[in-house]
Amino acid sequence: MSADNAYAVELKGLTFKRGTRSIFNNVDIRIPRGKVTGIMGPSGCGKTTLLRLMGMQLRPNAGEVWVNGQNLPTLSRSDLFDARKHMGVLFQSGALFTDLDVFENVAFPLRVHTQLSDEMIRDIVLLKLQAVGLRGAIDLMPDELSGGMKRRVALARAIALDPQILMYDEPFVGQDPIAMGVLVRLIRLLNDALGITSIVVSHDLAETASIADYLYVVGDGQVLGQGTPEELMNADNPRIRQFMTGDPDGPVPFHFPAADYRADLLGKR
Amino acid sequence: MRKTSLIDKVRLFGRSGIDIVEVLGRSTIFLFHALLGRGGIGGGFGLLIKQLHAVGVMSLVIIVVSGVFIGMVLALQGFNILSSYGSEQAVGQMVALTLLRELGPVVTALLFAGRAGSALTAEIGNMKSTEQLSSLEMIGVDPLKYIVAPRLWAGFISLPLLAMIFSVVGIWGGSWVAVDWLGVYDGSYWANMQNSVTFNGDVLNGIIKSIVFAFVVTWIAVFQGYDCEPTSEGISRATTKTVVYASLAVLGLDFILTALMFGDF
Repeated sequence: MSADNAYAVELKGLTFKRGTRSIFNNVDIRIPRGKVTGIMGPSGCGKTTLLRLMGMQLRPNAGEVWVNGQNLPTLSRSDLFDARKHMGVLFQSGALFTDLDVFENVAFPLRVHTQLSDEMIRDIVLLKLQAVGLRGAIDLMPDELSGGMKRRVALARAIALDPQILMYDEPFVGQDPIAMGVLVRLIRLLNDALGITSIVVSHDLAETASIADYLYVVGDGQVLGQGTPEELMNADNPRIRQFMTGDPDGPVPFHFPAADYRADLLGKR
Repeated sequence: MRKTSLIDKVRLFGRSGIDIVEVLGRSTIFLFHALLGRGGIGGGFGLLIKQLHAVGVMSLVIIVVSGVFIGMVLALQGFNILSSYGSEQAVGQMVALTLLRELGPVVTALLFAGRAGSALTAEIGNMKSTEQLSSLEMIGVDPLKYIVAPRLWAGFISLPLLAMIFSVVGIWGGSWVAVDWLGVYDGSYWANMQNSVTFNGDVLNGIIKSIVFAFVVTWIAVFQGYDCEPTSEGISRATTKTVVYASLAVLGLDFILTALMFGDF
């Protein structure tokens, strides 16, 4: 059992590799309970992979993944599915079930995990859709929704069972300013109103920093820095400062490692 | 371009062997979890009925039409060959035995792989690429029980039934050509069939074959979908693999089963 109940998720000595390439190397991350925690880093640094490791959709090569006092890698397949009932994930694409309408998508977790009556399920679905502002879209099919609406329906589905932990995978990508503002407010509002723990994986600095109580910056398979948004803005570490200020030049290269440019152009390679 | 050395070739050969064993192991564990893991069929009887409709009922048209035409062709060919020996009265038994022992199970399995198998692979692959399977996992629902198991059972149930329907309509199609068109006496057509076809030797063996084919074709189809690379190219490749692997498996297994059932050794 994890010693500290103050943390909803604890990654201890986590190592994850794809083939021979190391994605995370002996990483320690602690997500405080009841707070909004942002996990940030440049594209391709493994943020979504980290989220999948927290949900045990990927198995770490080494280390422990404690969620709500359970070390997930040690659980059996069926216990793992039981543990996931207390977690909600908002996927980047929304991942709505394309053969079900909005109502049935949100009702799905309630139908498979509870014995509630149809009337009760309908009431809960209406409440959740009202919370994301899409009660009027209840009869629409996923292909009739815009990208932002899909994500809001997916959010309503993710909170249908009132999870203890809610994880957001790049929630702000591809959103127009209005939808972005709505999502930012929703994440904060849901966290405070439902008393849940929120984990926001994103590279959208301003939006994530505006709602996060605590931030992690990851890169090169490690945690580069952590702290409150203010602490990270004033960090001395040049890698963190480059990320927080968005400078193209700095310790994090813009270019993927390659041979000499001139030699490549002249065909000498 | 770099020349491949002998040691590289040996290494690649070894790597391919390891990959094949790995896929076999993964697909066996996949099947084990889907069929024998905790939670029964997953999602209840309603899901199975829905899949029986998608996989079985929706395949009926192609099976019935193919069955009728193959029966008609068999009767026509059989009549031409047998009439040169003056044995055209035996055309009924030839059509029935060919369909029940071989063509019913085999052609149905091949058509099933092309119509339902490829659709299963594409559907599951698309669910994977749109993160619907991941989404199910994180809702706490095992996709192997909820998505895969009903499709597996639907395939296991549908294909033997479709094979029987194929044989029945094939025999019926054969009678159109032999009796109604070519003038074979209908009493000979049906009586010869009745005398020569045995339940244990012919009908049951055909059913056993179709059960084996159902198991293999559906397993390949759902595994390829579940295991595919979640991109449009990956889904396309997996769909092709389903049809190719399933067809080869059916033809190879047919020889083995025929040898065991009718080989007299």
